[in-house]
Amino acid sequence: MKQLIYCDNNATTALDPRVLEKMMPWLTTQFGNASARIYPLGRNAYEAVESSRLMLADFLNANKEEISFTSGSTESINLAMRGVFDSYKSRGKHILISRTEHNAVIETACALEQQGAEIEYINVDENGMIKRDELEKQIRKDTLLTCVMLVNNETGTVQPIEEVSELVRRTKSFLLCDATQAPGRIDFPKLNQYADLIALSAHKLYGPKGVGVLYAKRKNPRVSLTPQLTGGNQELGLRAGTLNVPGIVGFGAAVSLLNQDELQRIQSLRDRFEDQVTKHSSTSINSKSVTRACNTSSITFMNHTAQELILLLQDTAAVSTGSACSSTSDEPSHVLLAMGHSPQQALSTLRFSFGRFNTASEIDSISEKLQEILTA
Amino acid sequence: MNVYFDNAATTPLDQDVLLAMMPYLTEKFGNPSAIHAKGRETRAAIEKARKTIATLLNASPGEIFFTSGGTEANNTAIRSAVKASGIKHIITSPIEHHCVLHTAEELEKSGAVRVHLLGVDTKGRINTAQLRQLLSTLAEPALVSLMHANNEIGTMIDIGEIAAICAEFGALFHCDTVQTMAHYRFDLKKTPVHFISGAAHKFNGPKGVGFIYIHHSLTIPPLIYGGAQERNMRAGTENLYGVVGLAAAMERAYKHLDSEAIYINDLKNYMEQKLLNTFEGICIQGDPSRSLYTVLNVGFPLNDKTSMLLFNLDMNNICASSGSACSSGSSKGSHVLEAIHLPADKVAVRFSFDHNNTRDEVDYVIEKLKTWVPAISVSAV
Repeated sequence: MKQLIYCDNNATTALDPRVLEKMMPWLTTQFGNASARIYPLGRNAYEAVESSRLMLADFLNANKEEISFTSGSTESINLAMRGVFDSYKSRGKHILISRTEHNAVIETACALEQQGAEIEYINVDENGMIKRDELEKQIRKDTLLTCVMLVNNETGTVQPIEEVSELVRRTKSFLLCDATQAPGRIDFPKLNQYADLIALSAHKLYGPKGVGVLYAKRKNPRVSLTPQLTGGNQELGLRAGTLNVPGIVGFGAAVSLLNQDELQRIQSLRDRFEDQVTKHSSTSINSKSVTRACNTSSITFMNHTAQELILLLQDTAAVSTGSACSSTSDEPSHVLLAMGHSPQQALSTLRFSFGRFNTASEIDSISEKLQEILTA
Repeated sequence: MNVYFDNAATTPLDQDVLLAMMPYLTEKFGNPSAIHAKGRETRAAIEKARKTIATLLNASPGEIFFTSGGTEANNTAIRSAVKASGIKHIITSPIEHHCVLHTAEELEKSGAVRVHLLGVDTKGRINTAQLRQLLSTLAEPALVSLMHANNEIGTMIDIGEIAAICAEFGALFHCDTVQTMAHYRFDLKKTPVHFISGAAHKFNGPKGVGFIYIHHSLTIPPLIYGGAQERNMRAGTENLYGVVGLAAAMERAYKHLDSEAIYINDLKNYMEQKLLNTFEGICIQGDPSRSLYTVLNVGFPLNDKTSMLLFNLDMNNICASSGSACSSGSSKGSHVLEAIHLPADKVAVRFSFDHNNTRDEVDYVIEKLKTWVPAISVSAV
């Protein structure tokens, strides 16, 4: 296979070789069960897990006890939403979610609806920004949970989480922030000041697949989640199962490699790409006028469908129409529809998402190829 | 010498399995749900892994669902069965792994089911007559959840016998096979079991990945929502390198299953005989007539020196455990040993083996044990 230019970093990122290097001892000689702390092999694994937990806690400005490891963001989100609902449903059953949330949030909400939750959606404007005035009216005394993502996976739109938090704080509602697409894409805020629950995944930040984190605030307010996977005493009883030590070590290593300079470099690649693509063709870039992730370029084309373009680009670049999790379906993106796109516009939109390993010459090659296609 | 005799807690990752995983830790990283070539190549790897496992178990690929491990697999079986199939009773035993017991207890607390615990004898054997009797009296749908082999004492059930009883009364049967997967062969076309589970790290595969087999006649709701992965059964980006490693570890284990089973069983018998011939007051837990060949649970006479036995073994670079690693954070003793009424004057140590262990290691452990455990006096021999 010819070397494809990888422009789908929001679906998943390549594992950074430096991260893999840190994982290798835990994939070879250091194979102990982190719960078997009676002997060194187990204690070493335990300490490695705890040191990663500390790195994640530092990253989130949190305490170690607030960080639980899971198999990924989707599980973290499920645990947060179901865990809150099961623990606090006597307090209220009203759940607010923004229309552009990832399916992990939307589908979990739908499942909770079957159990009696009342789900209400918060609208977004044409840039995908949450309508704060509507949220202010929607949020109620009995709102149990509000779910607003930090960075949208399809458009890169950054939600004003601080302002959302202010509104949510007026009530007793917990705020769940799916921050999966934020690390390595925005200057990461002190999110725990705003959100009570935060979900992250390692494979979106050059770490391994199969490992994620859920942050759950322990005071002001304390969020007592009902565990969804029960069994052993791992993760302070919140999430049972033998710990994925190499994965967790990789997560810590990946987080500690994130850096500010990288954001500027990736943004300049993205901007260079957008300049080149918009110069000669009739396209529109989604969410361009609002704060956006540095790496994401969601482009709506006028005369081509996304499917056509993906086929024409298939030997050059790996790009996608939007969320990989639902990309096997042919439905137009719920995110773009929520932003007011027609189904046809939504089906003519491609997401380019760049990352650490992209180069300027790669950017030039794709835009050249794209120009060729669009002017043909 | 460093001796690792805690393979029931976790096993070392096999080097060839790691080699099979390496491409998926480096250049083949695409999201398996992505539509481009990088995604198609990893999708193919996931589906190949699924087919490998299905073939080895004589199941259909459509019956295999990947999870984050054995705990999630067992939770999925029990929680989803209760949700989907109108289960009102869970029949299980007091010596199940906590991921089964605690899950059943949670469901009982929520009011969804009633939990019935079958009696076990001092060898950890299930009372099958009681199971039959219970099933014949329950009017509402029941799920029977019994582990294939106990992780602490190694006692096994006859999976065919239990499956037949469940079939006779129309009950669903979940068998926690985490300790026996890839150590025993299963023919799922012939064994009427509805759910079995596996965790790769128990058979020289990677941590963080497992699977659940769900019989094709059942449609159950997902445990984790939010994406179309695993045919809508289990959302979340797949642990790609883990899934590849899981299948590679299954293949490796099956390739050598018969010879390794004999080898490990011999090693276990060797150690058992040597312990009995060397020390005073040794008792072996479990059912000698039907015992998991990787696990040897030994009761040592309690005295000042043996009360710190695990600690002392550790000081001599010997890894063994008192029971399930999953509960080792808790201050409580083993619920399994309590259920089989381990005499109060014994200290139990679980030695568990894999094919990497040797007789030299056993000899070393026996030598070291002589420091703390009283030897048989000559007159007694």
